[in-house]
Amino acid sequence: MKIIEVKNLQKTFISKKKYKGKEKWKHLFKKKEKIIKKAVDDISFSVEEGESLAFIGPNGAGKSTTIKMLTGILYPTSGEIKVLGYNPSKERIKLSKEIGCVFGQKEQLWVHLSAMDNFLFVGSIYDIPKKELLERIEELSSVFEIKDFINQPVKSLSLGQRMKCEMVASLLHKPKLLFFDEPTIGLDPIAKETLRNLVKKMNKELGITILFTSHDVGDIEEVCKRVIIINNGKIMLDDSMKNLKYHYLNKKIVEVNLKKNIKIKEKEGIKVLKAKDTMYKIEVDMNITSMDELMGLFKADDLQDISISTTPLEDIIKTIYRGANDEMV
Amino acid sequence: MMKWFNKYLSVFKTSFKQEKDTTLNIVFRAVSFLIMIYIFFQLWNYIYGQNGTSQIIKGYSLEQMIWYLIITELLYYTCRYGLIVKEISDEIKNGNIAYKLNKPYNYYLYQITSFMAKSCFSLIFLLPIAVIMEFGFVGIVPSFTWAQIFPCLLSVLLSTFLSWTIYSIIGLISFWIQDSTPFTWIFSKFVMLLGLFFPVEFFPNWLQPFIKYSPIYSIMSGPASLVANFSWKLFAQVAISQTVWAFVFILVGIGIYNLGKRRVTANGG
Repeated sequence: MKIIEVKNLQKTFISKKKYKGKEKWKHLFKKKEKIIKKAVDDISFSVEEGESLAFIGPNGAGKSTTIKMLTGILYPTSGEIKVLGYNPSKERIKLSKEIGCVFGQKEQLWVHLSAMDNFLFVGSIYDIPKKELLERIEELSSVFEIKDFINQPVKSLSLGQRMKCEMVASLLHKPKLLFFDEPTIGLDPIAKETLRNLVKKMNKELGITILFTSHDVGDIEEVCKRVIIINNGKIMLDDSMKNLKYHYLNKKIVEVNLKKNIKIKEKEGIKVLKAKDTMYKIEVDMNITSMDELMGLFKADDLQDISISTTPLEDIIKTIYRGANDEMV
Repeated sequence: MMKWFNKYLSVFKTSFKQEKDTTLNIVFRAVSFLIMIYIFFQLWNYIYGQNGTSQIIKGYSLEQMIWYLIITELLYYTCRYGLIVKEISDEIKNGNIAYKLNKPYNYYLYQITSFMAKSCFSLIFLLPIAVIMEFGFVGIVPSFTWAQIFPCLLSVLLSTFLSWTIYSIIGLISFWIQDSTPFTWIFSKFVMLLGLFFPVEFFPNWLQPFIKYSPIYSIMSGPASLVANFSWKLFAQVAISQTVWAFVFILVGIGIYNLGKRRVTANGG
């Protein structure tokens, strides 16, 4: 069953040109020139129930704008959106009862109050019966291990503890779909790992569909099974994480340390990235060439040390981002 | 309907609890309130003293005038309009409104309820001060009966609620214009001139009906006159006028909010 269906979605922001100096006075009584920016440019995609989707892109790519349109916060300029069968801009309140949102950059809890007071407040605005709410808080506070600080004011909690509380608050009304907008931002590696595991757990055990945005590739790699890369308002890639790795992880990075300084000749599929004394960093495109070809470029006796690694996913994503920007240029 | 009521009651209770952290701010406001009342008491005492303190001016004795003034000042201080219009305005301008729009409530009603809680919290501090000062300066209001306490209190609360329906609309104007402060300034000055300092009877005859049918009367002069010169007839008039205006402004506010929310421009993250 499709949880999200997006067809030809567009969002443009219109602003007025600002003039400086003499120009400012010239345009005082004139109609100001309009600047139209396409934040989301004709995108279409769908998400199946139970999926964990990474929605990523560089800053200003249009990912947060898309999420805000999916949650009914922003109105699309054109196109169609259906989330859980609702039109978000027309049925925002109905939709909000079925979805949850966690924003890493913005606290949604009342900071002067305790986490417990916040949960009781959230329960009442989502019309959850008191008995059911208390059971739900008990259940989630065990899963998220927040019992020790549930009665402390939110402002006194660490960032990791706060994020756990944000997640509990977003789950109280049993949402079918959860939006995570950079939830691990600013967290230390341990807190990140805990949060990632919890998100995975929500997806696998509770069957909640996850839409995840993050600049941290580790988050995406660990949590999501599918990835959509957006840049300049357009979808650059929509594929499974498995395929992304399979197709793009064809380049190997070979670091060799030789006994003597030799000249390694570049050829198709073999590129010397760095050469210093007897140390070489070489990129080998396995679709074009093979390791044998590389090993043929120097004598096996000259080899002191060798290490082979795959291109980090982060670099692949950077390449995809850059590719999109180059096309724009 | 009950669920709807409980939802906003919860917003009220939670905002009220959160407000406890601002207790020190309110204590300072109370000091400023005390000074203001003292200055105006001296001023009216002087005016009445010119013609003997038993003088009646436009139907008001000195005692009634001071009661009127303290109630209007109390209403003015309770409603922290500048701060709160700024809050709505800033939320719209910086896009933080987005984080409140993804919840199952109406943002406009949420803000009114939240502000109402803040005002009620201020009222807890300022009302006893106002009453103590009254007794200290002029004593009990003439023709006081215990039965008038509840209707007067209700009228004060309705006045605060009405203020918020109006000031929240001013805040919502930020959907269209960069800065709604001038509107706040203009409206608050009208409230000051036409209600805070003088009862409606002090204005020219031709102007009185306009003031009486305006929301400013329901916010300021109405409840203050009721305390100073209570009658059940006046209570009915003031309460009806406050309720009708509140109803009108809520409808206008919801309409403006529904039009404005299409203009939300929350930038990404």
